[in-house]
Amino acid sequence: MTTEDQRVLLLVGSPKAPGRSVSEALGCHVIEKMEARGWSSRTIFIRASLQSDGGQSTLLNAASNADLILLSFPLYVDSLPAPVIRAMELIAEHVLRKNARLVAIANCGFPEARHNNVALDICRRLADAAGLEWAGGLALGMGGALSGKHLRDQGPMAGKIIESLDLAVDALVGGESIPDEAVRRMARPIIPAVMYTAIGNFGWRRQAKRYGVKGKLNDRPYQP
Amino acid sequence: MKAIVLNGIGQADRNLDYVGGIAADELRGHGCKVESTILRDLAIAPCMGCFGCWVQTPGICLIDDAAREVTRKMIQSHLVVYLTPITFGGYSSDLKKVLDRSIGLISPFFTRINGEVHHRKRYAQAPKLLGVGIAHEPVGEGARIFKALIERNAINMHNKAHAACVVSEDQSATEMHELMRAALHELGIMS
Repeated sequence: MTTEDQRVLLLVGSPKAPGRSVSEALGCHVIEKMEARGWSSRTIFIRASLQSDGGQSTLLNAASNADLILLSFPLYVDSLPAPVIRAMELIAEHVLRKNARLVAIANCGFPEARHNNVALDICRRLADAAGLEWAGGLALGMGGALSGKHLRDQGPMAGKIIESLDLAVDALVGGESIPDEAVRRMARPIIPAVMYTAIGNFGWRRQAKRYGVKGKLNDRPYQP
Repeated sequence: MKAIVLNGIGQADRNLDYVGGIAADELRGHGCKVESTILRDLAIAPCMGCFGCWVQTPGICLIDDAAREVTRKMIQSHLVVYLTPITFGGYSSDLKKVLDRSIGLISPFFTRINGEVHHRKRYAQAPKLLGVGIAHEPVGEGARIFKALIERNAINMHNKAHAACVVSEDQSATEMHELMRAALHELGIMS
Protein backbone atom coordinates (compact mmCIF):
# COMPACT_ATOMS: atom_id res chain seq x y z
CA MET A 1 0.00 0.00 0.00
CA THR A 2 1.35 3.43 -0.94
CA THR A 3 1.16 6.51 1.27
CA GLU A 4 -1.53 7.84 -1.05
CA ASP A 5 -3.76 4.93 -0.09
CA GLN A 6 -3.63 5.77 3.61
CA ARG A 7 -6.80 7.14 5.12
CA VAL A 8 -7.22 9.10 8.33
CA LEU A 9 -10.61 9.62 9.95
CA LEU A 10 -11.04 12.57 12.32
CA LEU A 11 -13.82 12.04 14.84
CA VAL A 12 -14.70 15.32 16.53
CA GLY A 13 -16.09 14.63 20.01
CA SER A 14 -17.20 18.13 20.90
CA PRO A 15 -20.96 18.72 20.70
CA LYS A 16 -20.37 22.26 19.49
CA ALA A 17 -21.17 23.32 15.94
CA PRO A 18 -18.47 22.95 13.27
CA GLY A 19 -15.86 25.66 13.48
CA ARG A 20 -16.48 26.36 17.18
CA SER A 21 -14.57 23.77 19.15
CA VAL A 22 -10.99 23.40 20.31
CA SER A 23 -11.32 19.67 19.61
CA GLU A 24 -11.94 20.38 15.95
CA ALA A 25 -9.11 22.92 15.75
CA LEU A 26 -6.65 20.40 17.19
CA GLY A 27 -7.83 17.59 14.94
CA CYS A 28 -7.92 19.72 11.80
CA HIS A 29 -4.30 20.71 12.25
CA VAL A 30 -3.29 17.06 12.26
CA ILE A 31 -5.50 16.26 9.28
CA GLU A 32 -4.08 19.09 7.18
CA LYS A 33 -0.53 18.01 7.93
CA MET A 34 -1.30 14.41 7.05
CA GLU A 35 -3.00 15.43 3.81
CA ALA A 36 0.17 17.33 2.94
CA ARG A 37 1.99 14.03 3.39
CA GLY A 38 -0.28 12.25 0.93
CA TRP A 39 -2.99 10.88 3.22
CA SER A 40 -6.66 11.23 2.41
CA SER A 41 -8.98 12.32 5.18
CA ARG A 42 -12.53 12.45 6.36
CA THR A 43 -14.02 14.39 9.29
CA ILE A 44 -17.13 13.34 11.21
CA PHE A 45 -18.83 15.20 14.04
CA ILE A 46 -19.92 12.48 16.42
CA ARG A 47 -22.93 14.14 18.05
CA ALA A 48 -24.50 15.02 14.69
CA SER A 49 -23.74 11.60 13.22
CA LEU A 50 -25.55 9.78 16.03
CA GLN A 51 -28.78 11.65 15.45
CA SER A 52 -29.83 9.45 12.55
CA ASP A 53 -29.43 5.83 11.45
CA GLY A 54 -27.82 7.08 8.26
CA GLY A 55 -25.32 9.12 10.23
CA GLN A 56 -24.40 6.11 12.35
CA SER A 57 -23.86 3.99 9.23
CA THR A 58 -21.67 6.69 7.75
CA LEU A 59 -19.62 6.84 10.93
CA LEU A 60 -19.17 3.08 11.10
CA ASN A 61 -18.32 2.75 7.41
CA ALA A 62 -15.77 5.53 7.71
CA ALA A 63 -14.25 3.80 10.76
CA SER A 64 -14.11 0.52 8.85
CA ASN A 65 -12.22 2.13 5.99
CA ALA A 66 -9.73 4.13 8.05
CA ASP A 67 -6.10 3.23 8.57
CA LEU A 68 -5.90 5.73 11.38
CA ILE A 69 -8.76 6.96 13.55
CA LEU A 70 -8.06 10.28 15.29
CA LEU A 71 -10.43 10.98 18.15
CA SER A 72 -10.34 14.58 19.38
CA PHE A 73 -12.62 15.44 22.29
CA PRO A 74 -13.17 17.72 25.27
CA LEU A 75 -13.00 16.27 28.76
CA TYR A 76 -16.46 15.97 30.30
CA VAL A 77 -16.66 14.99 33.97
CA ASP A 78 -13.25 13.30 33.90
CA SER A 79 -14.14 11.21 30.88
CA LEU A 80 -15.36 11.42 27.31
CA PRO A 81 -18.65 13.11 26.37
CA ALA A 82 -21.56 10.65 26.33
CA PRO A 83 -22.01 10.69 22.53
CA VAL A 84 -18.34 9.79 22.11
CA ILE A 85 -18.78 6.81 24.43
CA ARG A 86 -21.84 5.79 22.43
CA ALA A 87 -19.80 5.99 19.23
CA MET A 88 -17.08 3.90 20.90
CA GLU A 89 -19.65 1.28 21.91
CA LEU A 90 -20.77 1.04 18.27
CA ILE A 91 -17.27 1.05 16.81
CA ALA A 92 -16.11 -1.71 19.15
CA GLU A 93 -18.85 -3.99 17.78
CA HIS A 94 -17.90 -3.24 14.20
CA VAL A 95 -15.39 -4.92 11.93
CA LEU A 96 -12.50 -2.56 11.36
CA ARG A 97 -9.61 -2.60 8.96
CA LYS A 98 -6.80 -4.95 9.89
CA ASN A 99 -3.85 -3.09 11.46
CA ALA A 100 -5.87 0.10 11.80
CA ARG A 101 -4.70 2.44 14.54
CA LEU A 102 -6.35 4.74 17.09
CA VAL A 103 -4.91 7.98 18.41
CA ALA A 104 -6.63 10.43 20.77
CA ILE A 105 -6.33 14.08 21.69
CA ALA A 106 -8.07 15.16 24.89
CA ASN A 107 -8.46 18.77 25.97
CA CYS A 108 -9.77 20.08 29.26
CA GLY A 109 -10.63 23.41 30.84
CA PHE A 110 -8.42 22.85 33.86
CA PRO A 111 -4.86 24.14 33.85
CA GLU A 112 -3.37 20.70 34.44
CA ALA A 113 -3.28 18.37 31.44
CA ARG A 114 -3.23 15.32 33.74
CA HIS A 115 -6.98 15.66 34.31
CA ASN A 116 -7.26 13.93 30.92
CA ASN A 117 -5.35 10.82 31.93
CA VAL A 118 -8.31 8.62 32.82
CA ALA A 119 -10.08 9.55 29.59
CA LEU A 120 -7.02 8.58 27.57
CA ASP A 121 -6.86 5.29 29.47
CA ILE A 122 -10.44 4.70 28.35
CA CYS A 123 -9.45 5.39 24.73
CA ARG A 124 -6.62 2.90 25.03
CA ARG A 125 -9.08 0.28 26.30
CA LEU A 126 -11.33 1.00 23.33
CA ALA A 127 -8.41 0.28 21.03
CA ASP A 128 -7.92 -3.09 22.74
CA ALA A 129 -11.62 -3.91 22.57
CA ALA A 130 -11.97 -2.94 18.93
CA GLY A 131 -8.80 -4.65 17.78
CA LEU A 132 -7.12 -1.37 16.96
CA GLU A 133 -3.49 -0.62 17.56
CA TRP A 134 -3.13 2.12 20.17
CA ALA A 135 -0.91 4.85 18.72
CA GLY A 136 -0.96 7.05 21.81
CA GLY A 137 -2.73 10.05 23.26
CA LEU A 138 -2.10 13.75 23.79
CA ALA A 139 -3.49 15.68 26.75
CA LEU A 140 -4.01 19.44 26.70
CA GLY A 141 -4.87 21.61 29.69
CA MET A 142 -6.14 25.23 29.61
CA GLY A 143 -8.39 24.47 26.65
CA GLY A 144 -10.50 27.44 27.74
CA ALA A 145 -7.73 29.74 26.56
CA LEU A 146 -8.20 28.58 22.97
CA SER A 147 -11.03 28.76 20.47
CA GLY A 148 -12.33 26.93 17.43
CA LYS A 149 -10.26 29.02 15.05
CA HIS A 150 -7.46 27.38 13.13
CA LEU A 151 -4.46 26.95 15.42
CA ARG A 152 -2.21 29.05 13.19
CA ASP A 153 -4.60 31.98 13.76
CA GLN A 154 -4.52 31.71 17.55
CA GLY A 155 -1.24 33.47 18.13
CA PRO A 156 1.74 32.47 20.26
CA MET A 157 -0.40 30.54 22.77
CA ALA A 158 -0.84 27.83 20.17
CA GLY A 159 2.87 27.58 19.43
CA LYS A 160 3.79 24.63 21.61
CA ILE A 161 0.56 22.88 20.68
CA ILE A 162 1.46 23.11 16.99
CA GLU A 163 4.96 21.83 17.78
CA SER A 164 3.47 18.87 19.62
CA LEU A 165 1.00 18.04 16.85
CA ASP A 166 3.69 18.31 14.17
CA LEU A 167 5.86 15.86 16.10
CA ALA A 168 2.86 13.54 16.39
CA VAL A 169 2.17 13.74 12.64
CA ASP A 170 5.80 12.92 11.82
CA ALA A 171 5.52 9.79 13.94
CA LEU A 172 2.07 8.73 12.76
CA VAL A 173 2.85 8.96 9.04
CA GLY A 174 5.94 6.88 9.73
CA GLY A 175 3.83 4.18 11.33
CA GLU A 176 5.02 4.99 14.85
CA SER A 177 3.24 5.97 18.03
CA ILE A 178 3.10 9.51 19.37
CA PRO A 179 6.52 10.30 20.87
CA ASP A 180 7.01 11.33 24.50
CA GLU A 181 8.30 14.73 23.44
CA ALA A 182 4.97 15.49 21.74
CA VAL A 183 3.14 14.46 24.92
CA ARG A 184 5.38 16.72 27.04
CA ARG A 185 4.98 19.75 24.79
CA MET A 186 1.22 19.38 24.63
CA ALA A 187 1.00 19.15 28.43
CA ARG A 188 3.01 22.33 29.07
CA PRO A 189 0.89 25.16 30.47
CA ILE A 190 -0.02 27.80 27.91
CA ILE A 191 0.04 30.55 30.54
CA PRO A 192 0.65 30.50 34.33
CA ALA A 193 -2.11 28.60 36.13
CA VAL A 194 -2.86 31.51 38.46
CA MET A 195 -3.44 33.79 35.49
CA TYR A 196 -5.58 31.18 33.74
CA THR A 197 -7.90 30.66 36.71
CA ALA A 198 -8.19 34.41 37.38
CA ILE A 199 -9.13 35.06 33.74
CA GLY A 200 -11.50 32.09 33.83
CA ASN A 201 -13.29 33.29 36.97
CA PHE A 202 -13.60 36.77 35.48
CA GLY A 203 -14.97 35.24 32.29
CA TRP A 204 -17.76 33.39 34.13
CA ARG A 205 -18.87 36.65 35.77
CA ARG A 206 -18.74 38.53 32.48
CA GLN A 207 -20.85 35.89 30.72
CA ALA A 208 -23.35 35.83 33.59
CA LYS A 209 -23.64 39.61 33.43
CA ARG A 210 -24.52 39.35 29.76
CA TYR A 211 -27.45 37.10 30.72
CA GLY A 212 -28.45 39.28 33.66
CA VAL A 213 -27.61 36.69 36.32
CA LYS A 214 -24.29 37.96 37.67
CA GLY A 215 -25.62 38.00 41.24
CA LYS A 216 -27.05 34.49 40.92
CA LEU A 217 -23.96 32.53 39.94
CA ASN A 218 -23.88 30.78 43.32
CA ASP A 219 -27.62 30.05 43.48
CA ARG A 220 -28.72 26.65 44.77
CA PRO A 221 -31.98 25.98 42.94
CA TYR A 222 -32.22 22.40 44.17
CA GLN A 223 -31.41 23.11 47.82
CA PRO A 224 -33.82 20.91 49.80
CA MET B 1 -30.96 7.79 54.30
CA LYS B 2 -32.06 8.53 50.74
CA ALA B 3 -30.21 6.69 47.99
CA ILE B 4 -30.65 7.08 44.26
CA VAL B 5 -29.37 4.38 41.94
CA LEU B 6 -28.51 5.68 38.49
CA ASN B 7 -28.85 2.51 36.49
CA GLY B 8 -26.76 2.90 33.35
CA ILE B 9 -27.29 -0.62 32.04
CA GLY B 10 -28.11 -0.19 28.37
CA GLN B 11 -30.62 -1.93 26.18
CA ALA B 12 -28.03 -4.40 24.89
CA ASP B 13 -27.06 -5.42 28.45
CA ARG B 14 -30.53 -5.92 29.88
CA ASN B 15 -29.48 -9.37 31.03
CA LEU B 16 -27.47 -7.53 33.72
CA ASP B 17 -30.56 -5.86 35.23
CA TYR B 18 -30.53 -8.32 38.12
CA VAL B 19 -27.40 -6.60 39.43
CA GLY B 20 -29.50 -3.47 39.95
CA GLY B 21 -31.88 -5.55 42.02
CA ILE B 22 -29.04 -6.89 44.15
CA ALA B 23 -27.72 -3.34 44.71
CA ALA B 24 -31.17 -2.08 45.71
CA ASP B 25 -31.67 -5.00 48.13
CA GLU B 26 -28.29 -4.37 49.72
CA LEU B 27 -29.03 -0.68 50.13
CA ARG B 28 -32.41 -1.40 51.71
CA GLY B 29 -30.68 -3.83 54.03
CA HIS B 30 -28.55 -0.90 55.17
CA GLY B 31 -31.59 1.22 55.97
CA CYS B 32 -31.66 3.23 52.76
CA LYS B 33 -34.81 4.45 51.08
CA VAL B 34 -33.94 3.54 47.51
CA GLU B 35 -35.03 5.09 44.24
CA SER B 36 -33.79 3.27 41.15
CA THR B 37 -33.72 5.19 37.91
CA ILE B 38 -33.38 3.18 34.72
CA LEU B 39 -31.64 5.73 32.56
CA ARG B 40 -32.20 3.92 29.26
CA ASP B 41 -35.94 4.45 29.72
CA LEU B 42 -35.61 8.21 30.02
CA ALA B 43 -35.43 10.68 27.15
CA ILE B 44 -32.23 12.54 27.98
CA ALA B 45 -30.46 14.66 25.40
CA PRO B 46 -26.68 14.88 25.48
CA CYS B 47 -24.97 17.94 26.96
CA MET B 48 -24.47 20.71 24.39
CA GLY B 49 -21.34 22.08 26.06
CA CYS B 50 -22.88 25.55 26.31
CA PHE B 51 -22.24 26.17 30.05
CA GLY B 52 -25.73 27.66 30.26
CA CYS B 53 -26.17 25.77 33.55
CA TRP B 54 -23.40 27.98 34.94
CA VAL B 55 -23.91 31.39 33.32
CA GLN B 56 -27.51 31.61 32.08
CA THR B 57 -29.68 29.69 34.54
CA PRO B 58 -27.17 28.94 37.33
CA GLY B 59 -27.60 25.44 38.66
CA ILE B 60 -30.19 24.33 36.08
CA CYS B 61 -29.45 22.87 32.64
CA LEU B 62 -30.96 24.78 29.75
CA ILE B 63 -32.34 21.56 28.24
CA ASP B 64 -35.73 20.88 29.79
CA ASP B 65 -35.91 17.10 29.92
CA ALA B 66 -35.68 14.24 32.42
CA ALA B 67 -32.06 15.00 33.32
CA ARG B 68 -33.16 18.04 35.32
CA GLU B 69 -35.24 15.90 37.67
CA VAL B 70 -32.52 13.24 37.97
CA THR B 71 -29.98 15.94 38.79
CA ARG B 72 -32.26 17.43 41.43
CA LYS B 73 -32.69 14.01 43.02
CA MET B 74 -28.94 13.44 42.99
CA ILE B 75 -28.15 16.50 45.09
CA GLN B 76 -31.09 15.83 47.41
CA SER B 77 -29.91 12.30 48.18
CA HIS B 78 -27.47 11.16 50.82
CA LEU B 79 -26.00 8.54 48.51
CA VAL B 80 -25.74 8.34 44.73
CA VAL B 81 -24.97 5.00 43.12
CA TYR B 82 -23.51 4.83 39.63
CA LEU B 83 -24.44 1.37 38.33
CA THR B 84 -22.90 0.57 34.98
CA PRO B 85 -21.36 -2.07 32.82
CA ILE B 86 -17.69 -1.12 32.77
CA THR B 87 -17.28 0.29 29.29
CA PHE B 88 -13.63 0.48 28.23
CA GLY B 89 -12.89 1.17 31.90
CA GLY B 90 -15.48 3.94 32.16
CA TYR B 91 -19.23 4.37 32.30
CA SER B 92 -21.83 3.34 29.76
CA SER B 93 -23.11 6.08 27.47
CA ASP B 94 -26.51 5.90 29.20
CA LEU B 95 -24.98 6.77 32.57
CA LYS B 96 -22.53 9.29 31.15
CA LYS B 97 -25.31 11.22 29.45
CA VAL B 98 -26.87 12.18 32.77
CA LEU B 99 -23.52 12.87 34.44
CA ASP B 100 -22.55 15.27 31.64
CA ARG B 101 -25.82 17.08 32.32
CA SER B 102 -25.14 17.32 36.07
CA ILE B 103 -22.31 19.86 36.12
CA GLY B 104 -24.76 22.53 37.24
CA LEU B 105 -24.46 20.89 40.66
CA ILE B 106 -21.03 22.48 41.01
CA SER B 107 -19.87 26.05 40.58
CA PRO B 108 -18.06 27.35 37.50
CA PHE B 109 -15.51 29.10 39.70
CA PHE B 110 -12.13 27.52 40.16
CA THR B 111 -10.56 26.43 43.41
CA ARG B 112 -7.54 24.36 44.33
CA ILE B 113 -7.80 20.89 45.89
CA ASN B 114 -4.69 18.93 46.78
CA GLY B 115 -2.59 21.12 44.49
CA GLU B 116 -4.91 20.71 41.50
CA VAL B 117 -7.46 23.10 40.07
CA HIS B 118 -11.09 22.00 40.26
CA HIS B 119 -14.47 23.71 40.35
CA ARG B 120 -15.87 25.00 43.63
CA LYS B 121 -18.85 23.51 45.43
CA ARG B 122 -22.29 24.91 44.70
CA TYR B 123 -24.09 23.06 47.47
CA ALA B 124 -22.83 22.81 51.04
CA GLN B 125 -23.43 19.05 51.09
CA ALA B 126 -22.88 16.68 48.20
CA PRO B 127 -24.00 13.05 48.52
CA LYS B 128 -21.70 10.13 49.08
CA LEU B 129 -20.81 8.28 45.88
CA LEU B 130 -20.79 4.54 45.29
CA GLY B 131 -19.67 3.18 41.95
CA VAL B 132 -20.84 -0.31 41.06
CA GLY B 133 -19.14 -1.50 37.91
CA ILE B 134 -20.07 -4.72 36.19
CA ALA B 135 -17.04 -6.21 34.50
CA HIS B 136 -16.31 -9.21 32.40
CA GLU B 137 -13.55 -9.96 34.88
CA PRO B 138 -13.19 -8.34 38.33
CA VAL B 139 -9.45 -7.76 38.34
CA GLY B 140 -7.84 -6.06 35.42
CA GLU B 141 -7.18 -2.84 33.63
CA GLY B 142 -10.85 -1.99 33.19
CA ALA B 143 -11.53 -2.29 36.91
CA ARG B 144 -8.50 -0.14 37.74
CA ILE B 145 -9.62 2.62 35.37
CA PHE B 146 -13.18 2.44 36.72
CA LYS B 147 -11.99 2.94 40.29
CA ALA B 148 -9.74 5.82 39.23
CA LEU B 149 -12.69 7.43 37.44
CA ILE B 150 -14.91 7.19 40.53
CA GLU B 151 -12.14 8.78 42.58
CA ARG B 152 -11.66 11.63 40.10
CA ASN B 153 -15.44 12.23 39.91
CA ALA B 154 -15.65 12.35 43.70
CA ILE B 155 -13.03 15.10 43.81
CA ASN B 156 -14.65 17.16 41.07
CA MET B 157 -18.23 16.74 42.29
CA HIS B 158 -17.24 17.21 45.97
CA ASN B 159 -18.78 13.92 47.10
CA LYS B 160 -18.07 13.71 50.79
CA ALA B 161 -17.07 10.05 50.59
CA HIS B 162 -16.68 7.60 47.75
CA ALA B 163 -16.14 3.92 47.12
CA ALA B 164 -16.10 1.68 44.08
CA CYS B 165 -16.85 -1.99 43.80
CA VAL B 166 -16.46 -4.14 40.74
CA VAL B 167 -18.59 -7.21 40.30
CA SER B 168 -18.34 -9.69 37.48
CA GLU B 169 -21.02 -11.48 35.55
CA ASP B 170 -19.81 -14.90 36.65
CA GLN B 171 -20.08 -14.14 40.36
CA SER B 172 -22.93 -15.41 42.47
CA ALA B 173 -25.49 -13.08 44.00
CA THR B 174 -23.96 -13.82 47.41
CA GLU B 175 -20.54 -12.69 46.24
CA MET B 176 -22.00 -9.53 44.75
CA HIS B 177 -23.82 -8.76 48.00
CA GLU B 178 -20.56 -9.16 49.92
CA LEU B 179 -18.68 -6.80 47.62
CA MET B 180 -21.41 -4.16 47.79
CA ARG B 181 -21.64 -4.50 51.56
CA ALA B 182 -17.90 -3.94 51.90
CA ALA B 183 -18.15 -0.83 49.72
CA LEU B 184 -21.04 0.54 51.79
CA HIS B 185 -19.06 -0.02 54.96
CA GLU B 186 -16.16 1.84 53.37
CA LEU B 187 -18.59 4.74 53.00
CA GLY B 188 -19.52 4.48 56.66
CA ILE B 189 -22.98 3.09 55.87
CA MET B 190 -23.64 0.23 58.28
CA SER B 191 -26.64 -2.09 58.46
